[in-house]
Amino acid sequence: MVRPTTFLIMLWGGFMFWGGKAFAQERYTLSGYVHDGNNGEVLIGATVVTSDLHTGTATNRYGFYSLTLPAGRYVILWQYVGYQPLRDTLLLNHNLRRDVELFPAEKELDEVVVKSEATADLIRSSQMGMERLTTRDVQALPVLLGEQDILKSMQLLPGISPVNEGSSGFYVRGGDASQNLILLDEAPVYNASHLMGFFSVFNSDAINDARIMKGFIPPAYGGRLSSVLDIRMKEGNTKKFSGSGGLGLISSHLQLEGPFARQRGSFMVTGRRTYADLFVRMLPDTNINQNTLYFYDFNAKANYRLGKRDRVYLSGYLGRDVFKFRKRFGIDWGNQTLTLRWNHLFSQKLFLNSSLIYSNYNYNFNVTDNDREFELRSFIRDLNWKEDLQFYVSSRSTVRLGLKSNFHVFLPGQTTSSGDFPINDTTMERRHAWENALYLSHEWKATPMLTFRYGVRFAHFTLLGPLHVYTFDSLGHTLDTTWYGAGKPIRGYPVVDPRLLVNIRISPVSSLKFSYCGMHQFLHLLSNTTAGTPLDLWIPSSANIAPQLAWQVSAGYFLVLEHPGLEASLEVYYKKMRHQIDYRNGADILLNEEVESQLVFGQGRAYGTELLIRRNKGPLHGWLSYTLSRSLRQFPAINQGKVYPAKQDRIHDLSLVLIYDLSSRWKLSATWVYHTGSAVTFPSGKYLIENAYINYYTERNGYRMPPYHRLDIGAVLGPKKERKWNSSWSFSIYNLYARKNAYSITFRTKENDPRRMEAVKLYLFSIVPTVTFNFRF
Amino acid sequence: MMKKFLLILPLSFLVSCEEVIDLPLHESDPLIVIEGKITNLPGPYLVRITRTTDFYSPGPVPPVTGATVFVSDDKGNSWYFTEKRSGYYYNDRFTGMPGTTYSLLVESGGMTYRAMSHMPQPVPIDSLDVEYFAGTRFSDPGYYIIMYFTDPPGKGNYYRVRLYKSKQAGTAIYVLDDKLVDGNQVNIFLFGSTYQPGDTAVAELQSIDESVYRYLLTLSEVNASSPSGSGTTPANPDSNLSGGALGYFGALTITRDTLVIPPLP
Repeated sequence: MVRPTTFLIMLWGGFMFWGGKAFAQERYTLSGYVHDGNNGEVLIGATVVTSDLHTGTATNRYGFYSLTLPAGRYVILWQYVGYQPLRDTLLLNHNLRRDVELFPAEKELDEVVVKSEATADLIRSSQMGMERLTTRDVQALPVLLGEQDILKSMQLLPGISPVNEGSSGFYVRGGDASQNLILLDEAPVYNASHLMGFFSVFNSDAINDARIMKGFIPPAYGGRLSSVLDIRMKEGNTKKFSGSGGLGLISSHLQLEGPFARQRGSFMVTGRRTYADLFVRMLPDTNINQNTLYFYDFNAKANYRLGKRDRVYLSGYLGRDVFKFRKRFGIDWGNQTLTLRWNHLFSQKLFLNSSLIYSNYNYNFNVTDNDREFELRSFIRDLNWKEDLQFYVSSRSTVRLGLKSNFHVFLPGQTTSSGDFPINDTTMERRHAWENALYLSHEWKATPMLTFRYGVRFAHFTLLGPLHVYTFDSLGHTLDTTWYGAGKPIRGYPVVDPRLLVNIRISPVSSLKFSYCGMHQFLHLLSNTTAGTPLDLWIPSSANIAPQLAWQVSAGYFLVLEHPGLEASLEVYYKKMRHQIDYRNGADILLNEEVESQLVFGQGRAYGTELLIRRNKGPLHGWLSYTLSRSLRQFPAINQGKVYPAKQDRIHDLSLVLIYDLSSRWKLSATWVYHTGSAVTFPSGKYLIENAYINYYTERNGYRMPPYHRLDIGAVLGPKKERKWNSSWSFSIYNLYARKNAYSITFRTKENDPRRMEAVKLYLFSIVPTVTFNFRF
Repeated sequence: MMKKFLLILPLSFLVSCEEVIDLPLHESDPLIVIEGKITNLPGPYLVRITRTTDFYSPGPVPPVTGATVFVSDDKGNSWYFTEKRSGYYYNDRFTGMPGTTYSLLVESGGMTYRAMSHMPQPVPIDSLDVEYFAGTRFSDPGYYIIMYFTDPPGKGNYYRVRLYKSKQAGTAIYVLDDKLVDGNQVNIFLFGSTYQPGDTAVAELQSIDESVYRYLLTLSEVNASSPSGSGTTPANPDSNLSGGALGYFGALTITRDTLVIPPLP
């Protein structure tokens, strides 16, 4: 590990020096923000290029750009897909600040479903293995039960596949769902699902931009093996007070936004609540109508411009699921996040963002039995401080430097009971951990044909006392216990993650990219089930659990054909994962102080090819995504030590998305998905114990679920023409040809012949039609 | 309970359906299955030795005949089990004593299989109670049994509860440990068997050792008659037998109580 790192640092130092010396001519900086002209939202990833020099940059996550050029006269082009480009001639003989506004393009391009990076950017950008979606992207797609969901739309892209039917949980390039870092305005979200994963916690009303990084992950991010999903909330309309909302079959949502303090600030608040339980209460069946099941979300954000150089943002999320079963059991769970950020411009070339972030996930489970009560609760809390400095050295060189300090507190479980409930009050020891990271990256356009982006992330994770630390033998029996006092470091893990990306433009319309990415993960999700449940338990790395680590190499070919408006990419990757976690047979995870004894460790590898072909222009647009991949695991304690396919091993995965603009009012869409069935463990024999047949297993994940495929169609009817009050209707049919896709397969004895066995498939959704009414003002 | 509850949760609001499907499964080499129990009640005690068979095979499981079967205790006594029916090996010349560790030795086909189990002290049932439950999509309406017993102080007690209805044992496997209930009076709501007024319910509380508890716990997760699939990745239960055999050998104590379901008021 040390040698490539040293090399990278030397390389970095060398380029910096060279980059600074190369030009003796006077140089000035053009900088500013790019906004949407209608509502003032910042445009993230908008490009700013000179039409003659072919140099350029893109706005950062706050909409800021900075471009340093030799003195002279330039034609500058600000552009963002789906928006009319802005062209301006500038005489650059001093530093210039230009905050620009772009307006959505004509109707034909408006609400373009696929908003990729600006075409040229696909081949020029120093990014690969990154996919991006905005709320508008997902608006035209048919959805289950009318709930637009950015996490589900993302699953239509290569390398990303759903955990289960209808699930918002996802697997990226053969990793499991807990290996995705999900950030909402920089705050980690530990459980991104509502209603057992059928909906994500991200209300699409509140989202400005979402991007998922699965190949090259910039050094500013770390802490998970598979991917980073970075979601940014809207900042609120800076022009006028406005609102929008929708009425759906199972939920309704409302959003209000507007400027305040003479447009120095703006705010946005959004709420959503499901009301399936209100219908449930109307049912005559007393078995069902006494149950409660709902969730709500609340997003709010405000920002205020302190001056030309400073801007502060405060944003938060609060969401909760509530389930009650006939006043006997209840469970409620949810996330809360709060992010305070301050953008400061030291100069036109030096952008600093400071953040203070709080994140909490908790659940409460309770049982009521007459006048006795029992409660189980658990949480994970983060307090995070981040500094991120972006230094736009020249038009060819950008440096990013940052640090992050994150304090985690975990309460794995605590029970309290009242009355004569037989369960003893138990409080598991809290875990405390401190995670620090320092990163440095440099993007260097060495020649117009060759761009490097490289950097390194140093991270240090420490588990702190007070805590009893156990040691175990190979069978999981406790050998020894050691007590560590408050604040005493128990185990520290210093790690180094190098990252490198090389972009070679081989022609004006195509490029080749190569990347290497090292990743470490210090927090581990223990879950007894394949579907994410609210009782999921996150635990820190410790003396018994080493951080998970992975490295990934990938290569890609990118092609943009301006004329038919096609873009295509082909990427291949190979990923190696170590210190992967699985469970002992019959693992006892709940309220077990010695939970670490229930784990077994192994390694994995994943590799694949991803193809994406998109058309962004014309009345008929959409994309085709195909992934051919494998994901394999090897654990000494599982499957007799032999390699086996991971549950996320889906060999073929295909999505076809088509959108057709029929008229100025009607828009039609269709999606078809196909993937190989997940690898599962089925019995290969049976035997008798106590006169009951028992399944006999000979191999882990040696079977496949049946192939999964489904066609959804949708239609959106827009308003006649733009008015003060606009409304639209969305219609969709999920699973049009009513395929009974297996959710699970179980085995049982036949009712009429108890000596014979049969396989039973459970399927959740047949054909599901939905209508949603949306409005905005 | 928690796991059952979690299964209910996702399914309760969805329209989910079941369908029997034709799913071909691999063939497997037959493996020996040994099941033996010693209790504190008088024998005869049975050690049954069979083999695994193909999953969809219609016939009975094949017996293993001609095996040598011995059980010995930690005081130097040893008993030979004789084969009375193919695969069924019996001995009725001793009664298990709580506090004793028993060992099983089976020789068959040139292989030797061994297991050990400690017989815990018996724990009495305090009482049985009955409660009407209107049922859900996942459980029938009817009268359910609630068992009360008092866990002796000190962790490390393991239990299995069995219910009988008209002398038929329920197939559901209930095991519990005293990790969270140590020293308390415990009440268990016994899902799985429903009764009607006038029925006689016999409930059995078995004290078992940790190895038997682990076996039965992991067995309950793959029991073909109890639903699985969306839960843990299934695997063969953790057996206390050496030599790669399936099944288990357990020494256990049994206490029983009976309740006649009262007629409707």
